[in-house]
Amino acid sequence: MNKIQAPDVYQVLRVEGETDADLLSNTIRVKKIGVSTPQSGTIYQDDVSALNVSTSMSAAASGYQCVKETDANSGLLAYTPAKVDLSDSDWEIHYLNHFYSMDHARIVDGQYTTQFEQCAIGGSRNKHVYQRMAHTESEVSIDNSQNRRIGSKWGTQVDSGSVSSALSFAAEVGKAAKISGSLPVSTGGSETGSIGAGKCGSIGPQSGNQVNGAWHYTYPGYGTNDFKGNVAHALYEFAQPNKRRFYYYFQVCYQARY
Amino acid sequence: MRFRRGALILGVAGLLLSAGCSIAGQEPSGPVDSGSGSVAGSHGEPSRPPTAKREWVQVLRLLGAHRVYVMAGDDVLHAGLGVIGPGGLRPAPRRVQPFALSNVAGNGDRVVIGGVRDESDPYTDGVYEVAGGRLVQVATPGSGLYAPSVGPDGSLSAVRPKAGVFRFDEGSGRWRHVPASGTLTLPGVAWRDDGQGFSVVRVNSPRSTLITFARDGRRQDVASFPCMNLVLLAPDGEALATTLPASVRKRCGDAHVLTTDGTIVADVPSGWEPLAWGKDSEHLLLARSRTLAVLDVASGEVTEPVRVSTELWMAAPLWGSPA
Repeated sequence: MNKIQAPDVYQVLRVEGETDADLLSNTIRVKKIGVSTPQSGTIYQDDVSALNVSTSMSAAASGYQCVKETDANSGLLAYTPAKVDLSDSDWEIHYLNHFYSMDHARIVDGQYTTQFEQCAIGGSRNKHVYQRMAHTESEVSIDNSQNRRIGSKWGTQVDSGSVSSALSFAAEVGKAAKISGSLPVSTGGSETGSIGAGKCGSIGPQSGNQVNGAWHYTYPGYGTNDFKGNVAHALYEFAQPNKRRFYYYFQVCYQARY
Repeated sequence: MRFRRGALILGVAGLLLSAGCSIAGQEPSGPVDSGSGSVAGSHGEPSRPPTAKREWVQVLRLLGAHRVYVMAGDDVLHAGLGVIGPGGLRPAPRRVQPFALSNVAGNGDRVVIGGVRDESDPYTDGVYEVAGGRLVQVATPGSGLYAPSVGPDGSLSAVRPKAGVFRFDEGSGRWRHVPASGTLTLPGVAWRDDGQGFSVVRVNSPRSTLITFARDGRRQDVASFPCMNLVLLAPDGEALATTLPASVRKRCGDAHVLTTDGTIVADVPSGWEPLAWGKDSEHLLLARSRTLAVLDVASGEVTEPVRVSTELWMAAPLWGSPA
């Protein structure tokens, strides 16, 4: 990956993949990944198995996660996250995109639905002596030409040293299903988010499905060398399929200034 | 009702096909049918009543209804609540418009919906009654109760995945399990005034089967028809209309009108989807590709199709005169 040298140039790392979950074995594989290939670092994991308990995700190198706050019998499935884990002598970018799904989420016009959540969490840091990071963002979407998004959330402020966001969704009765992400960052700048094309660009065939979570430094000419980031949730709903197959998009970008 | 199975005759579609038949022309003051493809989020509350239109009044008269609540929107997963009145299809007022709608049902006097009321956690349904110009919560979001319906006696029911049917006890305010429904995963339930319930198992599959819950607590299979989704019970309790989602209609055929013992007494005209029975149990409100019409079940005649600007998925008439 090229070092970031020019001001106001975004480095975009894009992961386009597919979670293919077999109803019986509860496994997924990231089948297809197209990226702007970095020169160093690891941008994804492939051929990975789904995780039943999200706390196992602590193996994530960055040490932060979107936690599944529910009991084991809720019917909520968690999948191994896709990872963007890059570093250089002058910068580092760490993001994880977590996937969860729930069958029998609702009955719409007599038909059961499945809800699919992406929770992207992470951030970036600039270590260059003369550069300051001004923006970092993660963006998720799905490969669907119709707007399937029914929910979205992102962190909006740092509280007690962390930016956090939680999104609950359908669960079998009496069993909470809540995905929450919390990322330790310092104060300064602003945590924000958006729907549709973000700073990294547009992903997926339907802009309404794209959800972006970002940290941004507002004033031109300034930035930070601290680690900054955000949490972004996107919740989608489909007619319940016979076999789970979610085509997702995930990209992150980073901006530094002199 | 009187059954006479025979040729089904589509009425003249001149209105639908005529040049210049715009949605705006049908509903000049209505913000709903603006061609946006959904009534969700429109939240229009007209400052004056829309002008009555002959074709809409005819639809309401045949149904014996003064208005019909409908689930409307081109995408069933993003549909909103609309109201058909003498002036046409309009959005339900904001205070009864849910953030996400999944179900509309009623018994002619009472209307219930399933849906997400507000854009807030959790993104799952509650059960609400449309009453007094507002949504009255009957089951909280997260209760796992879906596809609510209203029985002839006004009692409320809903289904829970893998847990059968629940009836609402107005006295205690609690939902009570119907033992005969066991742990079935059902798409919804329709109740007859003798306490017999009707539903479908193996929905949308070639082996979908009509079942009943007898008063004595037994459950029994009635008949199998390919790809049934929901069944609509006529107010007189003598006939059922099957429904099929559009996605399976091509490979599964069309909807039928059945006796409650599962005998086909009429075919619904090809491509049309039953939405609701009329008060006389002789007429069925149908929808197809942004049009609606009324079927006279006995004669097989279908009224002149009336065009709307979006798809209609479910309906709940309120009995009365449209005038």
